[in-house]
Amino acid sequence: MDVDPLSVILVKSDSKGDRLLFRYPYEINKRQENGQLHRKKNPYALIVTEDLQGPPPQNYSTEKDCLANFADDILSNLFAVKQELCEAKFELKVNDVRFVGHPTMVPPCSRKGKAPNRPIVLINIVFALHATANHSVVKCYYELSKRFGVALKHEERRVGYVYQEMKAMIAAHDDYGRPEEGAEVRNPFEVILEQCSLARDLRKAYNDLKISGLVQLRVNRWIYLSFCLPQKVHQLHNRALMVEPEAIDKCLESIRPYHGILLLVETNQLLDSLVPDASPALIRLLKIYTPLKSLQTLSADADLTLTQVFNLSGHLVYWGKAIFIYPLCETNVYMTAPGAPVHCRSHLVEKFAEQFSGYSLIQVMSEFSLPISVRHKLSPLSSDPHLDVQIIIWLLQQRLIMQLHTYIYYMPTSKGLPQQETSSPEDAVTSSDETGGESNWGSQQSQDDCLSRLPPEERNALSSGGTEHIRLLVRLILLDYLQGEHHIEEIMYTENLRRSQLMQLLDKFREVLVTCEAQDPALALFYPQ
Amino acid sequence: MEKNNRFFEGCGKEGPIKCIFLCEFHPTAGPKITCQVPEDHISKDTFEAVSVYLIPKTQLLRSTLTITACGIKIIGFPVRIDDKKYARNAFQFNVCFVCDYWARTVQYESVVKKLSDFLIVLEIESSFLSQREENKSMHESLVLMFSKVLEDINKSNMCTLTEGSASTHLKVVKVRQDPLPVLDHQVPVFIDGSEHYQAEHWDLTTQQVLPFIDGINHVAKIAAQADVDNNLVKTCLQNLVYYLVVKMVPIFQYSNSYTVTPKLRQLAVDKKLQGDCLRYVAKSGWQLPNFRDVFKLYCSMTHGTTVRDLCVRYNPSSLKIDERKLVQFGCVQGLIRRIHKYPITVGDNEDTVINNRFTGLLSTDEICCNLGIPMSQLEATIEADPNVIVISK
Repeated sequence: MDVDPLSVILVKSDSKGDRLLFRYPYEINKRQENGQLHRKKNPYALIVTEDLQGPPPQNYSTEKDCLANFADDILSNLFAVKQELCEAKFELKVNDVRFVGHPTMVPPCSRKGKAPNRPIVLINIVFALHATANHSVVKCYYELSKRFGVALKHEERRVGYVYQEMKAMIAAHDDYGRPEEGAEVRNPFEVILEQCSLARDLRKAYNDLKISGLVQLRVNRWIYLSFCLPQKVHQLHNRALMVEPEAIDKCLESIRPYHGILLLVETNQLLDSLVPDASPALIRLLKIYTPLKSLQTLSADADLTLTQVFNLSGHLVYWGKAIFIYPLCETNVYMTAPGAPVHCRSHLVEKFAEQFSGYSLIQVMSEFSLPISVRHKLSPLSSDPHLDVQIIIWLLQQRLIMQLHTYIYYMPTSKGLPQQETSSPEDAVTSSDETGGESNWGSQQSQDDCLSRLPPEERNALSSGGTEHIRLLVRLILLDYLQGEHHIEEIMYTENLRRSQLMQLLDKFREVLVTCEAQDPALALFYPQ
Repeated sequence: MEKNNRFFEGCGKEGPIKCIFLCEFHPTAGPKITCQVPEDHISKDTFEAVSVYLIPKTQLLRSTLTITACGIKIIGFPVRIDDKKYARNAFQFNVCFVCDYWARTVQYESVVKKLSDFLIVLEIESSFLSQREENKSMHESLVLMFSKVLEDINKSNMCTLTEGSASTHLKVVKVRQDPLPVLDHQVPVFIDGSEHYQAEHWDLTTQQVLPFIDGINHVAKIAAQADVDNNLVKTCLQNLVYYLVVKMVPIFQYSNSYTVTPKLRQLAVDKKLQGDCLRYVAKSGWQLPNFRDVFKLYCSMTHGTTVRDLCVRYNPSSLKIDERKLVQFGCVQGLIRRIHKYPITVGDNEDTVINNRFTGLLSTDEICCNLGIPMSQLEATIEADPNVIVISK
């Protein structure tokens, strides 16, 4: 899917009519194009009336990236919208081009209490996209157009910026129409780019969106405008990836305090790139950041509330600076990610060799061909365990490996998971609390007590195994942890258990507990599907 | 509230057509709606706000224009008929569909265009549109036509129109993403059983290919058996993949390994899927296997565990499970995915036909199929060469 803009267009409309002020990119050889247009309108051309289908509609975007097929006056006519459509989302699709913008009414500036002597002007900054761009991309571009509108509105009120720029642009267009004697005829858009800072800002926005997906500029060297196209910034990390803002929001809902973050850029580099008025909380978080710690630990270390850390991490993810992971630890199991672009001609091979001299990416990747835990990877023979961790971090950053978690399904009968119980979840929680609170550990009675909470057909399967284990198992069953929705690490975190306790349980009841290894679905958005 | 949650802009759902209207450029009154079904769905104010996109400038005629504004979405295809008999030597009109602003509407674009072309024919032959002011019966038949289109398309996604001697068929075709190219070593499998698809409504080549799709034959073999050119078979199959008739899965071998996907959880909770699964994977029709056994087998599929290993460990036939069908069901439903092996040559190796293919871009399946050698031979070659590294993913 294409997230890059095709073009950016600035249109004004006021009492003097509508006009296209600026478009970028513009065509260089305009004259020639005009000539062709005239040729098409040959009055002696034979019109075949039987040809009902007419000529096939032209594909605008494929021919040239600058939408040369749309003449200036056509665009200004389309985007100088009626008042009813102002200050709202404007979306128009013409064949395979989609235009999106936020038409803004800019009231003229009034100096020193004097009534403004100029009429209200409508400004519409429109982005042209491929029609296939999906809705979330369109929404982001709309947001950018809206922000430009707000900034321009402010600058007009402050110093009459819009009026000045508009005047200069119109003058440039008019001069093109009647060139002075002896002067060389120049493309009006070239002149505008030289003279108008607004045009240069729009050009910068267009170029930055195409190159990095990040726009950071000051409108009229005053209003700071910063914008990020998350789909693009994540695509730069991995071409097959499509991370949408909505998906990030959804991911944030399923992120738990035991998750951690992994920065995709160097910490120092990120700290340097921050704007001067960046949140001090963010700087604090970045200073103590490590991929080995969970969000909860990070919040304690940085002395921030957990909510704040969640918000800051969500922000870093949105801006393509980080992804969520399960914190690196010895028991983590990793394997090659499906579709990892590792082959002879992959640029990653060289990049890896530069970073870790003496290692070969292909060799390292083949070690992850079978799921391997960090503990096993860091063999005692390894000369430099620190380097091995660095390699794993690098591979995770490039999305070449992914983590596998163990999920547990409790299947007491041959029919699979037990039928949904009629008792409400609160009942289950309170009953488990009671179980935990009982003091007569190990007595025969409590084992029966525990089992009596389960339907009779499930009891038989559990009769073997120690009381303590049965007690734990029943607790986990009643809390719905054993339905394949929660991985072992999550159960350990929420129920405050040790891994060995769960492993014993899995071993004791392997007849009824089915395990499988899979990726954490909450983090799946960071891997190409 | 719930409604808001389900239908928001960008939810990707398709919506019904709410209204169909015809607007035209009136020689004195300018752009104007002249026929609307149901009536007064689009107010005069709304129409005036967007009329520039419905009756556009000449350069945009015969373009599909979709405008989203005022909480609605309008799809139109403006056209013009040039003739001296009209007041301004031309008759410009646009037949438009109105949908909810949140709905996906690409699928209607071709329908709007076709309906528009049909009206052009009627107008040229019998002045069907321009004579309506004088001839009330023509107007009524246009209203009837729009009502029929609205009703039939919303109900059954197709509609047949007859007006005098002219007739046309409208059909909404779902717009999906282009299917991936079909490769030689893949195996097509029917998604809902083959019995529904033996019908005659496919083209001749597809009819020739269909009988050979049995879930076992791979593309190259089907081409040979059906005596159809390999590329034609691929095109046919790609078409069938588009219409969700077949799915391409990797060829089954006992040396393959698979891994579960997050979708496996669905199998644990979805009773209907469980029933389908048990019927599909059963070794014989009259004795269904035990669900826990099936689930356990799926869960045991991990990296490095081949189907052969699974057979040795669990003996699926004693559990009434057909391992081939088990794998096939898992692949078709996306519960499991194949782990492919990609051999890569590191260091300098002599240029041989086989070594040239060890780039990391071709899986062992592709190499075997390309060279026509058995997997065991390829594995032996890889094993014998210390310069070849295998990455599974």
